[in-house]
Amino acid sequence: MTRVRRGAGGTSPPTEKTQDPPAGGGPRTGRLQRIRADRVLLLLAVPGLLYFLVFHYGALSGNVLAFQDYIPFLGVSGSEWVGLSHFERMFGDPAFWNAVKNTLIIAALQLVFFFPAPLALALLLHSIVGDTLRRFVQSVVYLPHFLSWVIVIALFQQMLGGAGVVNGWLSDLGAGQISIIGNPDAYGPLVVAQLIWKECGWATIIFLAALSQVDEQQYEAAALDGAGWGRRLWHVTLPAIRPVIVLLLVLRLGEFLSIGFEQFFLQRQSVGPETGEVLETFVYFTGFAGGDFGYAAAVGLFKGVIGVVLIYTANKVAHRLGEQGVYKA
Amino acid sequence: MDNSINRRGLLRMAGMSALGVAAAPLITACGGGSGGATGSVSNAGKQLVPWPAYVPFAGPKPDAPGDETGVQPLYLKYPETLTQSVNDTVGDGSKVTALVVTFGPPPAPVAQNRFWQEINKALNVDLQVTVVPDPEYGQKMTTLMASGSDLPDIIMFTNLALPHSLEFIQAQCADLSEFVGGDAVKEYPNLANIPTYAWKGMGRINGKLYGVPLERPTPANSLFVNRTAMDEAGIPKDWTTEQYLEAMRELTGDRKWGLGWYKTLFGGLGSITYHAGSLGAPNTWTATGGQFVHTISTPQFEQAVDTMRKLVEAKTVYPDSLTVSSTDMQSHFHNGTVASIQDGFGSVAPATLSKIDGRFELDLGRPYGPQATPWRSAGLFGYVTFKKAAPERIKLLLRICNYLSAPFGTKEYELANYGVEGVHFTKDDRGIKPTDLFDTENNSSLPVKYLGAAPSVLYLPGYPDTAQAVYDWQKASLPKSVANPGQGLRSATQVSKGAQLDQIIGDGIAAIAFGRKPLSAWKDVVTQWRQTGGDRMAEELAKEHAAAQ
Repeated sequence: MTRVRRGAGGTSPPTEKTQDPPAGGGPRTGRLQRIRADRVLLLLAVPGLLYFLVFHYGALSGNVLAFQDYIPFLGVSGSEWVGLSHFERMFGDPAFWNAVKNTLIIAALQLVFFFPAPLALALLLHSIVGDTLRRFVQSVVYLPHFLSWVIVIALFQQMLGGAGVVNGWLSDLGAGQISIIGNPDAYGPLVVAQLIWKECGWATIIFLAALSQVDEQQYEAAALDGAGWGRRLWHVTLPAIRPVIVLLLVLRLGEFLSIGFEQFFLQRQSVGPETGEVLETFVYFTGFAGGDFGYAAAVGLFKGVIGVVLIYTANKVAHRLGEQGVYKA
Repeated sequence: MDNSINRRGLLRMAGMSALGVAAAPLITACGGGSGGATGSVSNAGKQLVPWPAYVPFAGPKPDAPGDETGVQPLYLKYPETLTQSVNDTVGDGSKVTALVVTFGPPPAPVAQNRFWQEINKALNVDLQVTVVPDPEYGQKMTTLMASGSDLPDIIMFTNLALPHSLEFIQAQCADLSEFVGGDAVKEYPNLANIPTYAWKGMGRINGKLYGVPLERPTPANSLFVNRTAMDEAGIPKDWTTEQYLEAMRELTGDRKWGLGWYKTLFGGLGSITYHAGSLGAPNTWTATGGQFVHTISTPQFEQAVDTMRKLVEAKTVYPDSLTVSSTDMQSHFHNGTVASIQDGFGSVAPATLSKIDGRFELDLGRPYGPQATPWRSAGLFGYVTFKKAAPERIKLLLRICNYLSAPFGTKEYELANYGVEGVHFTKDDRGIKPTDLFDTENNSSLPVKYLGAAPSVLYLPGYPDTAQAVYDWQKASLPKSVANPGQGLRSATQVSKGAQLDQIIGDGIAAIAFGRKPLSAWKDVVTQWRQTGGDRMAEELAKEHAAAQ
């Protein structure tokens, strides 16, 4: 991320280079000096650090629940330890595997159809010449991001539901009804379409920032050599923003199983658990609704471990392909 | 009055629930436990506190009497003279905090709220209410119980099965046995006027009494019908199964539907209550020969599932019934889009009638089967509990409850239900007439009706004909009605797995009704339910039932 921000904003002051520690000075003074020099940047990082400490690292301690028969008002100290029995139960639980299956199907659909969508939209936006027009279109496509899932899903239901607008027209025309909402076969495409409608515009931001960094001279040179729109895209634009694409892809893979909660929570009932139950709703229903916090935490932990393995593997693959990835070990 | 507790409490809960969702992958332990043994919630083999004595209030003479099957006393007119049921001071001017569910918008701040001010004055306390909107209630309560500290004085529970709630109540709430058990309740005459079925419906925990029930009449989830539309289609009041299905077909067409369900009904038995009762399925459980058998394993119940499937197949059900919210579906009913809905009997209320606004005549649908067994309700909406405190404090909280439970025909009832005369309502020859201010200042937005409730009567100000129709419906259907033998009995499995078990039933009904699975899959649903904990629950209830004899 740092790379991107620096690249995009170009604000990072070259202090490190100009104030090299004096020769002979110990590493201690050097570090102190560097801290002093970078104090503004370091201070800026504090809120973010605190956020991660409290809400991510702090929350990690909650994973002990996975090994307990946790009863909320007895707390961790008062609840019974049960070892790995939650995990044993999990691997033998068909409802769990059903949730895994549904999550994988939707995650795969999201990866194939949602991931490239913002890139395509960003390229399209980038090609709009008029500045005013581009800003206007940009603002419009950002808007759905600020609608809550409740509203987005209500909109889709009002449009596509059995009593919705589209079916209203169809019945006025005397045509048959289309069944989308509540049809298990249409569920996967429906949720991905909702995601694209809501988040595609917002997700273009990083791509647009990367696109603005592409050297204009390369386009001109390519154009002079007779490269058309397609060749310029293939040989100039895409190679230039490849690091960003790979970075986002690695991050996305790390969150492969985190396909979202609200969207699925709100629609699970319309298709039933056979199609609609995903890991996040499974955790919610067993933990919060069912009070089985320990088991739910075990499922959550399992999902977290898979996420770590995925991000590690994806990063390694990125290195093999000669990319920077998310981090260099 | 300062709202700090309110705001802080809400913020804390909002924060915790946000955390809960954000950290769903790693559900976090919040709050150090208070320790203390949970013990058992069962009453079997325990010394049982006697049920509170029942001393009925000799109220105004009804136009038609109630009876022991649950038919409510009918009042076509508002009583001319009111009695006073509370003569002593209730509070001591101190601050009293309460957490209650709400189905309405939040109340206006007390400084601008005449209703709230008058309630405070009458109770002589500084009442601070944290309202939890109905859809978030379960989750908020789970988080509150998990936090375990900084609890309000009064905590209200609905009938919703909340995991571990009974253990929480035992650990954190005051034992009320010595204050309300047996004759002790006579200290609080309005609480002594609460019928025994409401106390039994609430039940004991570990042999003791921990709450005061909010009484509800015995009809359970009922079928609300648009009588005008039915009359136009020539549909009779009493119908057979075939006539009922035919009627639903009659009422469907031209973007209108015979009936509508809504999504919350599919969390358990809700959506099927009317059909199961019509077709003679037992109310949730049967207890014969010491054995508990759940209604889902009876052929009558399977027939009810099949009826729901037929209704959907004939396209007589509002197509988005699995996704529409209860409020939206109620609006569809009020404006005539659907000709019938299932709703709690509590919706037989002036608020519903004012939303229908004279567009049609409201009635309730009679059960259709030849051997109908309409299901009775739990007899209560929920109950209030008090945070552990010194006996004096508990007595004060009970006096608040006593005041708010004052029966129809008293001055206290009038204030708690209609507000202040001349401000929130006026009286004319048709009875109570709400003013415009009542739309925003009432006991739905400031839900004091969930801190104490009078035994209900049938009085619908301005709608005596509807009241009469509902009375006739009660007379026709309640004598055949059956109670749930498991109501008020404790089962550890129900406490820990009740929500999950309900979900299995609700998901199963939805899958078959909407054609995702064949009817033959119902037996798999029953098997899954039994293996997940249903069988264990049946055993526990049988044991508990035997002990209660």
